[in-house]
Amino acid sequence: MSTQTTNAGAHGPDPVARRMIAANLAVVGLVLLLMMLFGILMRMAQGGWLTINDDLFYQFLTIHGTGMVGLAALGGVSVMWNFASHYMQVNGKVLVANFFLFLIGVVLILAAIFWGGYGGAWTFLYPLPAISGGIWSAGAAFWYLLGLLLVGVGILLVCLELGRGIITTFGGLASGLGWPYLFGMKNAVVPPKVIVATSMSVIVTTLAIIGGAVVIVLSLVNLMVPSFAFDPLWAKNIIYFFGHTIINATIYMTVTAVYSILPEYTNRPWQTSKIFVASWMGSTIMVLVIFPHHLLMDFAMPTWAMVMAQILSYTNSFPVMIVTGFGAVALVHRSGIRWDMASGLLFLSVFGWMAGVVPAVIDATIVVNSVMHNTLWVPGHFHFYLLLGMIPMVLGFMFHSTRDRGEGTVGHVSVKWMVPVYAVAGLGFVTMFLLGGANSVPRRWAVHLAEWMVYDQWAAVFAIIVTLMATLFVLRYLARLPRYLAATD
Amino acid sequence: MQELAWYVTLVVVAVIIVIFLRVVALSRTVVEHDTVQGTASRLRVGLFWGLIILGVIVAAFSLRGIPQLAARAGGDVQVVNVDSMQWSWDIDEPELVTGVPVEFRVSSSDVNHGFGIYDPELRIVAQVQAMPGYVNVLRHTFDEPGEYQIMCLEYCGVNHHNMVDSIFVDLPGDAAADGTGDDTGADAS
Repeated sequence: MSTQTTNAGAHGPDPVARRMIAANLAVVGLVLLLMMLFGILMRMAQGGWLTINDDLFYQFLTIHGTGMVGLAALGGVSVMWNFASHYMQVNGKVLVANFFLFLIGVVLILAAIFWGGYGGAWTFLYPLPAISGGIWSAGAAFWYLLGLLLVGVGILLVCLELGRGIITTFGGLASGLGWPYLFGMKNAVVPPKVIVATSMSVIVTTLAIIGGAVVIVLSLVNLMVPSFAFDPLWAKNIIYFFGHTIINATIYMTVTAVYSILPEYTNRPWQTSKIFVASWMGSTIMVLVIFPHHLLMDFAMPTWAMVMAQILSYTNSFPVMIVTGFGAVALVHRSGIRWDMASGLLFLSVFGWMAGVVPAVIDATIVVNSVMHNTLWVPGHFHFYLLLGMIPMVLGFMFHSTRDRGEGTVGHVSVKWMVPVYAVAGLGFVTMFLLGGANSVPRRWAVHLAEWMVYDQWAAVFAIIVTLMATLFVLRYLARLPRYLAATD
Repeated sequence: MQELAWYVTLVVVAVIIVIFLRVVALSRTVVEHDTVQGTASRLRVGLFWGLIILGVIVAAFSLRGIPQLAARAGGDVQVVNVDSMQWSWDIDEPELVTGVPVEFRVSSSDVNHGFGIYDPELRIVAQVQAMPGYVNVLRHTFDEPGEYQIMCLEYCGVNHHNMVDSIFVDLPGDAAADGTGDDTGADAS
């Protein structure tokens, strides 16, 4: 016998959390625009339209990657907190702590990059931070890694508080994931979709940050005491465990917006089913163990791990494609859905996530990876599901949270062109990455050969259009924010 | 392989685009949710098993040709030791011949690098990571003669994009005639 849970006495984010979520999303929007600007500059430089010193290019590369991952994490936990707090009581002051840790971390990171000259990429692949070839000092790398650690600690605090809330309200993280219901236990509670997604995100993010923290602390010691060394292959494994898991987790966090908002627009229920719970159970495990697909070209790795990485990368796409993606399509199909900025962006986000999986899975095939690894195919696939998946989820939530209740939606006029233009330009942008990868253009090269520049130039054009659209989205959100905050006080 | 990956991606993404556009186009018409759900459930089962079957077939075929297994194969090879460092390659035997497997033993003296082999048309034909403390073994048989460029495929610092070198592949007869290369299979390790 199982029962569907309802609201467990909580009524959404408390006043402190509501303000912090708004502040976080404002920061996310502004940082997004800044990072997009760095992206445009890099693509223009690669295309020969702009001259940037090599060291500055790699500093842009480092801040672009770090900033995008950071804003994805901040946006992800904010959206997840908003919806999870409808089912449990959590302390909004944790978001304040996270906000300040984030800001301090960002200041350190910016200083390390633009003052100290750190350009070791956000992946800080050991031992590169300590061996820069004389370009940046050990001190710059130290402050960069410390800043990254502080940002991670802030996100970890949020996850721990959400985890505490789930354990207190639902009896444990396994219950939050719906395992008692899945396995037919007596009096099992059926958790809401949002709680299933939050439980999974909390588990994988916590483990990823702990892993990342371990390797960051070891790298910090290595910077202070160069004679202290550790195994580079082990470090690479842990770094990709951290990096792969955290960036994927941001999508799993933010998809709570899709689960919560799309049913509202379609007037259709999207109930938790055993298929749904089973798929999230699979995702929880697979997201944690498929990171070796980033090491397919490290032949020192055990071959069985590489084979498993390929197979699990295939199976990890099932929950996205068959459950969330297919479920969203079925929810919207012939539903009479009300289209506006929020629903348009959220439906786009489902497309971006599903379609972005395709080049990712193909690249996880070892024989393909041997000619695609570290080409532009790689940023092609992750820009696909971040630019057209995760970011539209956050933007959709921004518009939904600040919509004009009682007077219909403010954004319904603009959706006719803004979302499609963003989608087409975004698709063009990622296509140039994928085309570049298919033509063997290496990633992370400051200077491109003339043969490769055509992809860079078209990418720059598409990136400018995407950034203009994102600017309009963010400005509209910021313009609505004071009225939203005044209305919720 | 690159073309195959590109066209498969193009086709599958195009199919997903068409599905989403179709759903958007029909979204104004309202049908009972249960009716849609019934159809969706049947399609979902079909999609699930279709992807399972496709995945098994692709895995079965593709895993037989992975470079990790090729590196362990026996037989005569041309051995090339490669060391990498910021920002250059040290290749002890840059003159090679077609038709005989080449065993690249790749390592690094400082940070992680990526040993990427580009053919004369600037297409990657093989790659392996270069890592301090490890020797990664990559085997590749060149079918076409020419100058192949070695480009770094793992970000390694500010001159990453300048970490380029060349190897030269001749036909066996040409190599013997001009005294370069080794068409006899010097190392059967």
